[in-house]
Amino acid sequence: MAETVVQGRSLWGSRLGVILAVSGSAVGLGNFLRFPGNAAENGGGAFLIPYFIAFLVLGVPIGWAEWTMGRLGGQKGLHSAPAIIGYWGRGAAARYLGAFGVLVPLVVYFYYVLIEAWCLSYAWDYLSGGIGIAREQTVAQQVAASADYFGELSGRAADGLFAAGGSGQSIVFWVIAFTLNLWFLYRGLSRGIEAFCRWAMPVMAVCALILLIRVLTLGTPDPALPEQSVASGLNFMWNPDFSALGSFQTWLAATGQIFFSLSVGFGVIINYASYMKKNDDVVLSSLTSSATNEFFEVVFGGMITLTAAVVFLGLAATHANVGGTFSTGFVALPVVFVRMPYGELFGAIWFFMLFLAAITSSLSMLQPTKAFFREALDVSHGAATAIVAALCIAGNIFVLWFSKGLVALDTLDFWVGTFMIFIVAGTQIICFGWVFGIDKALAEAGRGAQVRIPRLFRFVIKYVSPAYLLVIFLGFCWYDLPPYWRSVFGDPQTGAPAERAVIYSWLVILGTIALLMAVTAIGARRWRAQGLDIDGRGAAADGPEPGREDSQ
Amino acid sequence: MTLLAMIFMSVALAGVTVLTAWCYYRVLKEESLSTRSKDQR
Repeated sequence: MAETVVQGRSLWGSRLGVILAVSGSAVGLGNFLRFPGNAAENGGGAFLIPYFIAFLVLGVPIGWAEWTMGRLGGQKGLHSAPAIIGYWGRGAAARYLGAFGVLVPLVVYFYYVLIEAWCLSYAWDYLSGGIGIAREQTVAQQVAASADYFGELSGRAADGLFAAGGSGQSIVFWVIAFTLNLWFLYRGLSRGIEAFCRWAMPVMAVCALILLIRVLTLGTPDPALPEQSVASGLNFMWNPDFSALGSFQTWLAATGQIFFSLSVGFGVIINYASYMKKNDDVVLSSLTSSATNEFFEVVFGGMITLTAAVVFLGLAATHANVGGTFSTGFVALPVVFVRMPYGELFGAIWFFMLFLAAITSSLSMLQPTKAFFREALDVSHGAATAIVAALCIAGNIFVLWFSKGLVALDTLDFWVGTFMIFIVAGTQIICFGWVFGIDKALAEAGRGAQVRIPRLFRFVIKYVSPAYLLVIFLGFCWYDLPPYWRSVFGDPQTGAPAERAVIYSWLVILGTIALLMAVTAIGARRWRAQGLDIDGRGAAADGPEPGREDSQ
Repeated sequence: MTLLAMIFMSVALAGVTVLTAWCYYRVLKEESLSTRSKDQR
């Protein structure tokens, strides 16, 4: 497959390619591990009510906005979040806020590729005979052994580069995962990312389907324990508790799940859509990638994980060990595979599927960063790839080193991978609906559209989405922020100071922000000198700017 | 499994499956039409 380049611009090879690439970015570990735990803890089937409301008023509208902003940005010769958001937001304030659209994917990559490496490491272990948990032990003993194994692999016990396993296994798999990411990034947009996603997404679906059929045909493996059945597992996940709908936490959890799962506000979609042609459809494409994500999340995530856990661990152990992404994926499920017939095979398929879900997401984190450095510094494709690689190696080694209690990973995940996504998404929806103008923005979205955006969404995008986002952000700050705030500034009640790893993590975040702001300032000067309309002063829908070369 | 759990599960699964299938049907139909018109040209 040759790289698709038209008039000096790199483009996606096909429409299905960009849809699968965006879907690959959205479908990640959260679909299989975070969604079922979140749903079971927050009302079961009733959780789906706020979940689908958030999908309609937040996920779908912001998705449309991002796709539209990206496609028009590409026509103006812009491919990075700061430049595109600056164009839509008409000025420097939006441009510098847009720099967070590079910060988020870059810093999330610092830890995400390590989790991806764990998945690959587990898949390898299962292919080569399992992770050494004895079959004859009790569930509690097996859970403890599984937690020990994960602790050793992830280096949770102590800081230091080789604290992660005596054999350095996580380092080996990090090198493999990192090299694969870099290789696909270097191959380019259509020959690298698109070609890989066109292959990886169907394989991921086949793996998930095999696991789903296996889980749904388990029946009641132990007749002495009739409550440990497929029906009980599905009931645990789906039985609605309507009282949960009265709790703000349920709405917060459902909205958070939609928001983070769809990759909106991540700075990825805006970059990916900038490589589309002027009249390529964005409305149906955005809806299709969102629907793909929902299919993986609700059908596969909602049917496999908890059902298997209840069948083999029982309700009490599932309650105790399933919830967080890591505890579900890397502690509870390995015990399930020990107890499942042909568990090594299904364990290998499961972790390989998670690895594919992770690598299609991590690739999407590298591309926006590469495009940013390439267009802001006017460097070659190879040089931009080298800059991204150097930054990511430094970030990865930082997270690998400060592995004790996974504090550094958790700090980066909370402040950048969660908190700052609100900033990017909020900036985007305000620029789209208010600064650029909702009517002009929707007219731009409608160009080449295969389906029409219903008129109701004019009101939703302008008023409901920003208001909903603000309420959820305030609720998030009220409920989730305080412990993280104390972890940075120390706890005044106990007098406990901030942890070293938290302070260093913040230095990494601030250093990266300073770097991206400086590069944005350099880029702005260059873009202006090239005559590019980075402040959005020109007409909204005229042709591409002259004099720009490919900056994929 | 309770009846309510079954209803919620069925509606959710059917909803996302129909939406996804409809989206891909429209995308693939358009792709095949544009490929055919390119071939004719």
